Amino acid sequence: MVCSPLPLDVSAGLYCDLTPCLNINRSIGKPRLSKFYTPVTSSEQSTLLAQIFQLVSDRPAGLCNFLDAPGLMFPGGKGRKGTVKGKGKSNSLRRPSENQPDEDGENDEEDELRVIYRHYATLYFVFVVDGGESELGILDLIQVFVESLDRSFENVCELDLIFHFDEVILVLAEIIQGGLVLETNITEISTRFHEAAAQRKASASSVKEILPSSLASIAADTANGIRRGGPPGGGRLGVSTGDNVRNVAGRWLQGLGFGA
Amino acid sequence: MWERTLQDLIRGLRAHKTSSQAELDAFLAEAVDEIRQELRGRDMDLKAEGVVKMCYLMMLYPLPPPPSFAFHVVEVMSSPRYHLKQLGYLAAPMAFSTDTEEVVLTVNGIRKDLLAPHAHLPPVALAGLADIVTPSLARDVYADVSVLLTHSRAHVRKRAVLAMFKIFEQYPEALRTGFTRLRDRLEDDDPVRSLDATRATFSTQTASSNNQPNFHDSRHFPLSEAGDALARVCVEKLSGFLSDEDQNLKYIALLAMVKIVPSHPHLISEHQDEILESLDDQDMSIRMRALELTSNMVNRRNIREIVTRLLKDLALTTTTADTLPSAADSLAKTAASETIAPGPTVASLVPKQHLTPAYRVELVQRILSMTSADTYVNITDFEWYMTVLVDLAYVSNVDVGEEIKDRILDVTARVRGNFRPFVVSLMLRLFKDDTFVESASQEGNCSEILYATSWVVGEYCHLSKESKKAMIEALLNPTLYQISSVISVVTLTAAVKVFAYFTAEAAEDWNPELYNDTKSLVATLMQTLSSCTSSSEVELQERAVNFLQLFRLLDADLSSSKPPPGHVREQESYNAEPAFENAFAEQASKSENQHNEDEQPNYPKSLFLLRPLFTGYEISSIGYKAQESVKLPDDLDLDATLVDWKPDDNLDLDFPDVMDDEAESGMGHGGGANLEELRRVLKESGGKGKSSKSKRLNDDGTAETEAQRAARKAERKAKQKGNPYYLNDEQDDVDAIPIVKLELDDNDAVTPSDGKVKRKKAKKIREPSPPPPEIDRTGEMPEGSEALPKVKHTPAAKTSKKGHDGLKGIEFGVDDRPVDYTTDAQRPQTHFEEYREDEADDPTPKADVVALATSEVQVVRVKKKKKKTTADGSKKKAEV
Repeated sequence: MVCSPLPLDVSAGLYCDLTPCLNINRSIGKPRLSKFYTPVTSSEQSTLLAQIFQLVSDRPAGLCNFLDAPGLMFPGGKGRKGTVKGKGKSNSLRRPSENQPDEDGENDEEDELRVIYRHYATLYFVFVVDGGESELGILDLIQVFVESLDRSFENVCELDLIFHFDEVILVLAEIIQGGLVLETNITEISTRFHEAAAQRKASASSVKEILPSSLASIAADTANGIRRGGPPGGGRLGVSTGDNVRNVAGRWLQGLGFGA
Repeated sequence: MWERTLQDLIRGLRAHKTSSQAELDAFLAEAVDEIRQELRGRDMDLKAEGVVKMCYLMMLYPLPPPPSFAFHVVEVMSSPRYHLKQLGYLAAPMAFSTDTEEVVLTVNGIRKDLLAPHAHLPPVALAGLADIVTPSLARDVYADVSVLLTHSRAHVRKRAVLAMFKIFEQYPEALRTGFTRLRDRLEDDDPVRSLDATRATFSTQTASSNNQPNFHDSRHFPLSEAGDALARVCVEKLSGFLSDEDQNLKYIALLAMVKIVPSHPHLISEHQDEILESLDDQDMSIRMRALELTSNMVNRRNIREIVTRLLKDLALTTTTADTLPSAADSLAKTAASETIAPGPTVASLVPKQHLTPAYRVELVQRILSMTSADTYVNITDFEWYMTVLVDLAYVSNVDVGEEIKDRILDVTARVRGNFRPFVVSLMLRLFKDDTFVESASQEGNCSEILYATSWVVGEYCHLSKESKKAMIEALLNPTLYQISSVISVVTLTAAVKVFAYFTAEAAEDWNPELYNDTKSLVATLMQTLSSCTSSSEVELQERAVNFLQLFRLLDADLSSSKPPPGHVREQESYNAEPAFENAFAEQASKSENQHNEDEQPNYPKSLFLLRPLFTGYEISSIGYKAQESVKLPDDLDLDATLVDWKPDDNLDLDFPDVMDDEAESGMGHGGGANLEELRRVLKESGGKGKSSKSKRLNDDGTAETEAQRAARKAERKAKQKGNPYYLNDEQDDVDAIPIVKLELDDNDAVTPSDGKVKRKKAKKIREPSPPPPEIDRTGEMPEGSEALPKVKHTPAAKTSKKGHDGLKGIEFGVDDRPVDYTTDAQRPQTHFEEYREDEADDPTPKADVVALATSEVQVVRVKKKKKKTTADGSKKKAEV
C-alpha cells in the first residue's frame, strides 16, 4: 500500500494521455478486462496483452512494479532512443503514429510508454502509460482503482470482475476519462458509482422510458444552486439554477421524442 | 425464445475452459450468431444485452464485430432509458473505429445528452465522448461541452474540462473560443477543478503540485534552469535511493538521473559506482534503466571502464554452468562435455537465467551506440576499441554480427596512422582461430564479422608486416567459403588483393624461394577460384571467372619464364590453356630478345598484373553531407548547347526514312517530370534543325533533292577526313594508329587524379611513428567544398600539417592519455579470455591466444574460453 486514500489532485499529467491500455490479467494468463484509450487493432491488443503477461508473470515478487524489458514491443512501435537503428527488433517503448526523427530525444520522452503493474492475489493490474505520467502516481492510481472496486462490489473478488465486466468498466470510467485521470478520491468515486448504479436499477425496473428520479435530481440541483448562490456562470446555463420548470419540462419532452 | 445474458455467456465460456480450440470456436460462433439475432430484433433490452456481450467477446478474443454493429450501438446509445444508454456509451469506443461513418449518427444524440435536463446524463455522455471524439465530432459538440464547463455540479464541470482537452486535441480551432472559458475555470471555487483546468490549460509540467515525495519532482523540473545547488541536492537524494531497499525507488532514481545527465553529467558521474552496481540487479527493469543511464553518462574518461564492465556481463554469462575453478578440472570437464555434445558449442551454451537473448542484444547495441556516438567522440584509443568489437563478436552470442561488422569497417576506414596494421594483425588472429571460423555459420556467432575481417586484411595488407603468404592461406580457408556467398565474394577478392601485393613485392626481390611460393600460391588460388566458378551465386561466380582468367595469364607467364638464378626445386607445372601458353611463350621470347639488348628485370612482368586493379584509390569514409556539398564548377553552364549544330553541315546519319518519323518518339516516354522537361528542352533547342525531318528541308521549305543530298554528303566526308576524331572507312591504315604503351607496372600510372598524388604525399609526411591515432571524423568531402564546422574536441590537438586535401583528419589523444604502444605486449588484447579467468579464479598467467600458439595448454584454454570442440581439437586432446 503506497498511499491511500489520495488527496484529490493526481500527480502530473492530467492532461497527458494516460493508459493507452489497461488490463487485468489473471495468473493463468487470461485477460479479465482490457480497456484501450488509443486506437489499437484487436490482434495487436491480444499480442500486447500476451506479451505483457508473459513478461510480468516471469518476474518474481519483490521486484519493482515497473516492467521494462528488451524485446517488449508496442503496436506500431519503433526503435527506442539510444538503441542502434535499423533493426526493427529493438525494444520500442514508443507510441505509434509519431514520426519524429530519432535524434529528437527530448520529445521522445513523452512518447515512451511504460508498463506499471501491481499484483493482487490472482490478478495483475497493468497500466501502460506514456512518459508524461508519473510512475509512482500511476502506482497509486492502481491502488485507487482496486480500492474503488472493493467499495463498489463490497469485498471484491475475481468472480465479481469476471461476471460484471461492464460495471468494472464503469468504475474505471469514474477514475479515468478518455485516458486522462479524472478522480482519485475513493469516496468520491464510489459515491458516483453508487449513484449511477441506483439510476441504472431504477431505469431498468421502471416501465416508463425516462426515470422518475431525474426530476427529483434536478430539483435537488436547483435547490443546491440556490443555497450556494449559484455556481460561477451557472446562470447562463440551460440546466442549472436559472431554469424554470417549464423549460426543463420542454427539454424533457424533447428527450422523449428523441428516443422513440 | 431462450435468451442468454452476459452472465450466461461468461459461464458458458468458463465451461469451455478445458475444451479444445475447435469446441471453443464453435461455441463462440454460436454465441456471435445469437448476438446477431438479438441485435436485429426490436427489443431494446435484448439489443443492449447483445451489444454488451459482443463487447465482452471482442475484448477477449480478436473477433470481428458483426456487420452494422456500430449502427446498433448508436441505437442503444440513443435509447431514452438510462441503463441502456449507459451501455451504449460503454460500447461506443469498441464499436467505432476512427473511420466508422456511424459516428456521424451519434452527433445529435450526444448533443442532446450533454444538455439533457436529466442530471445523470451529461456525465455519461462526457465519458463516452472522450473516448470516441473525432475531429468532426469535436467540431460539432465543443460548444455544448464548453457550456458544461459551467455546470452546477462540480463533477460534471470536471469531466467537461477533461473532455475539452480531448476536443482541443482533435479540433484545435475550438481553442479560439473555448480557451477563455477554460481559463475561467482557473478561478473555479472548487480548488480541485481549478487545478484540473490549470493542467488542461498549460501543456507544460511546470505546475506540478502533486503529493509524491519531493524527489519525484526532480524529473519534472527543468533542471537545466534550476541552479547547480538544486541539482546537487536532487542527485544526492537520488543516489540515496539507489541503495534503497525499495526497488521502486531505485527504478525511479535511475529514471530521474537520466534526465539530469544532459545538464549535469559531472554530478551523476560522482555516483558511477552505484549506478554500475545497479547493472547487476536481479530486476530486469532496473537493469534496463541502469543500462540507459550508463549509456547516457558515458564520456571519454569513463568509457573504458563502463564498456569493460558491460563486456564482462556478456562474457560471464557465456560460460556454462560447468565452469570449474581450476584449469585441470576445467579440462576434465570440457573433455566430458565434449563427448556428450560434440561439435562447436558456443551457441548451445546456457546463459545465466537473467541474460535473455533480447537483453544481450540490448547490451551489445548499447555498447555499440555509446562507443560510436557522435562519430566515436568518446573513443581515445581505437586499438582498444577494435579489441572490444572483436570481443563482442566472441561473447555476444546473439546475432549482432552485421552491426559489429559495420563498425569495424567504418573505424578502419576512418582511423589512420598506426592503427590499420594493428587491425590487420588482429583480424589475422581471428582467422587463425579455427573454432571461431568453423562455428561462424551457427546462429548467434556473428559470421558477418568475417566479412569485415576479409575486407580489412585484403585492403590494408600492404600496411602490415605480417607474411602475405600466411594471409593468403588464411583467406583461402575452405571453411570461409561455406558460410555465405557475400562473405565468399569478399574473401575471394581479398585473397586476390593480398596476392597482388605479394607478387609485386616478390618482384623486387625475385629469388627461387619466392618463385616457388608464387607458383604454389597461384596453384592454390586457382584451385579455389575454379571451385567458385560453379557457384550458383552470380556475383561470386563472375568474380571467380574474371580472376581465373587473369590467373591463367599469370600462370602461363610464370611457367614460361625462367626461374630466377639459384637452386630451384623442380616444380610441377600447371596446365594452362594452350592458347595462353603460346601467347606468352611468344611474348616471353620477344622479351628475351629485348633482354639481350637492354637490361630487363629478371622477373616475369605479369607479377605486376594484378596490383593496379586494387590500388586505384584509397577507400575512405564518405562525409555526411558530401553529396550535397559537391560544388558546381564555375564554368558549368547546364543551359548551354552542347553541340552547335548547323543544320546543313556536318552530320547526316542517313537513317532510313522510318527513323525520321520516330525522331520524336526516339526520346522515349515516361521517366518522370525531369525527363519530360528534358525532352521539352531538347525539342525546343533542336527545333533549329536537329530533327532529321527539318534537316531535309531546304530553307524555302521544299524537300531537298537527291542531288543536293549527295553533294552535302560529299562535302561532309571531305570535312571528316581532316578530323582525327572520325573513324573513316577509307582510312585502312591500321599501322598509322598511334600505339600507347600501358605501363601496368607503374602504380602511379593508374592514379586517376592529382588529388591522389597529393594524398600520397601527405601520407609520407605522416610517416614518423608512432603517430597518435588519427580519425577522419567528418568523412571524405568533395574537393573544394565548404568545410563543415569542425567539432572542437581537442583544440590543442589540431596540427596545421594535417591538411590532406579536403579530408579532415582530426588528430587527438592529447588531453587524454596519449596512446603509444611501443611493443606488442602493451597493445590492447581481446579480453574475453580474461573475463572467464576472473570468474574461474584461474591461476594460470594471462596471455593472449598468440602467445599460447603451440602447447596443449592452448587446447585447454581454448576449450575453456570458447567451449568449442572441433575435430582438430579433439585430436590434439587425444595426444595429450
